[in-house]
Amino acid sequence: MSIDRHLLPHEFDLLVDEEVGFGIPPLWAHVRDCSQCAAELSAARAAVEQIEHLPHMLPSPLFTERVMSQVHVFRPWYATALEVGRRMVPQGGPLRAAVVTAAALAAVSLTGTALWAATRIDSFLLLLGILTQQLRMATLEVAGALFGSSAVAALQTGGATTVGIAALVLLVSAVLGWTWIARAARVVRTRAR
Amino acid sequence: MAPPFDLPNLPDADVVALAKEGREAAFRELVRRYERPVFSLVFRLVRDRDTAEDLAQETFVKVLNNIERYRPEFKFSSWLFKIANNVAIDHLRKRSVDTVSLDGSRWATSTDEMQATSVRAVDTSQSALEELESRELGGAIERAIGSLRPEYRACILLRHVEDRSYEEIAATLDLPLGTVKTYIHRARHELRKALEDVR
Repeated sequence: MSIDRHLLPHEFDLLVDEEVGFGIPPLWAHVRDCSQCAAELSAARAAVEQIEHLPHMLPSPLFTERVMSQVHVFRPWYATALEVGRRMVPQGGPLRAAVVTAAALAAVSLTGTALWAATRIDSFLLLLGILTQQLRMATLEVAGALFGSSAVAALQTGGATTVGIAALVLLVSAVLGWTWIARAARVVRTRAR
Repeated sequence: MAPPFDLPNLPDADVVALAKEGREAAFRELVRRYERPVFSLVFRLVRDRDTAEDLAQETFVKVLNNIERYRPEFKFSSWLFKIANNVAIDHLRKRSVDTVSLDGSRWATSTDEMQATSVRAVDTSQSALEELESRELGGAIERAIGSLRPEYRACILLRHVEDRSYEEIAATLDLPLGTVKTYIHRARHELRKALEDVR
């Protein structure tokens, strides 16, 4: 079935774009019968064909280098981690399978150990308490040997404030002592020259 | 050693993913794939080789330095052409503010008004570079394309040189689909007229 009028501009566009659809066959039928519309379509297609045959143009040979000199290639941490992981896994089939199996076993073992530890938390707390007690006793013994048993007894009865003051006095003494020794060494070096 | 990739045969999305991982070879592959289309589009828009090369370079630098912002649901080439077109149009706008436009008044709202206000310049002292450019853009069809408004030019080049669909052009140029169709229709009409005048 053809249409009994000349094609409208947008209808020529549909044909130039080689659209398909319900309304297109009557347009082609009309073009076949109408020499004026056929000539119009032919001219439109000729112009489009000329554009379609336009070549791509080349920039200068150094174009890529000039672009790359201004591009900041940034390697994110996850890419580096993946790369390291890939390097650690062998490329060969059987060896790769062995490494993956070993890694999977290690992961399963660690997970199992963590779960077991979580169910035995009371045992861990007891162990931690014993270790803390031992550490405290050793510290007191060292303090008694350095400052005498009366100083240790005073620290034990005085509480946190007394311990804080003692620590501060110790720190200030250490800094003053260090400064004095450094100054004395400087004087000795100056005299020696 | 990094595993080898067959970059030339990978689709754009995969090459972009490798570029996001910081692989320089992937950046170079993207430049290799699109340097000609982007340069050609920009050259035909601004019609000056040196400027086109600078603008094409600016386009790639912008795109590659912001590759993290690329969203894979869009075609990479559409994003690239969008930036290239914006860069070229910005340049043309700046130039039209700085100089007297040969294409007619920038306040003109139609092609007829632009033609009525256009200036015809005849330069008798062509440099070697200009000669080269006039050879590159000197064919009747290139001159006809050069006489179009930049918006029409971008649409018609994307449609028929880069073989993009109307929808892609609309997305690339941030224009309504109807406007793209109108621009392409007018561009074709003007090109036909220009080519008939040459004959």
